Amino acid sequence: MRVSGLKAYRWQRWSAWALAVYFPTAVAYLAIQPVDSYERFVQMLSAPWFLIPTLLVLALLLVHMWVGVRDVLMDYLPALGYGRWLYAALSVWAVVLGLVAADLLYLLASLLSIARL
Amino acid sequence: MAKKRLMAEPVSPETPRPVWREWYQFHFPLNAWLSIAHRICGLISVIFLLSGLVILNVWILSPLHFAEIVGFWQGIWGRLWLWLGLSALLYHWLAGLRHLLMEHEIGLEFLHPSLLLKLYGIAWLLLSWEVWR
Repeated sequence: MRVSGLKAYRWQRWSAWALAVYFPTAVAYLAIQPVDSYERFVQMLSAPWFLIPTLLVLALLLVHMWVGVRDVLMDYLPALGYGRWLYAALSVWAVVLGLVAADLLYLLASLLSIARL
Repeated sequence: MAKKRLMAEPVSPETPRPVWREWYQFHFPLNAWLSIAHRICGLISVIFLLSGLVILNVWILSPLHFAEIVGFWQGIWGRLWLWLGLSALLYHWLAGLRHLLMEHEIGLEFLHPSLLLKLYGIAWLLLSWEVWR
């Protein structure tokens, strides 16, 4: 199998651009429209113009986190003499991110059902 | 006083390739420190965002706890958590944006490391004021 870091590098860069744009936009919006009640919070989160970009950015954030922590583990575990633990550490990190993705999907389903009520 | 060595300098003629050595003996340029800080702040941001997800769960799934969480953020521990997490996230974002601009060769003449530190200092002061006021 041919292993290359180029694909991971590209995903890291594209996700970084999306996060670089999304974070200041979200902060500016929250500064203008502060969330002061649960109803307002659900209304804001479930609005399509907020929800769809946020879901896309969350997916890219998971990719960004995967590549970033993967690189740290690959760079430092073997150098510190824990190379044999690398695959175990990467597997744990993959499981954590999988659980986060599942939790986000569950939150999405809950949010949409709350917003319908 | 220990002599500072360059990273590429071989340890001895018998071992001509650079080997793992004490990091504190290396003389890193400012850009390297900023890059190291970018990684450390990235890891802190991961912990911050994962703990934020726990709060988001409580926020969405328990409407009765909404006021309690708002109250937590107004207390000292909530503010401290928010301040540390957002400080790390802010640095990671700014340093990352600088990396991206440098890779695309945009505004290279303005991307000196001292400018990043100045911008971060100003943004961090604003953030601290907003969190602690």
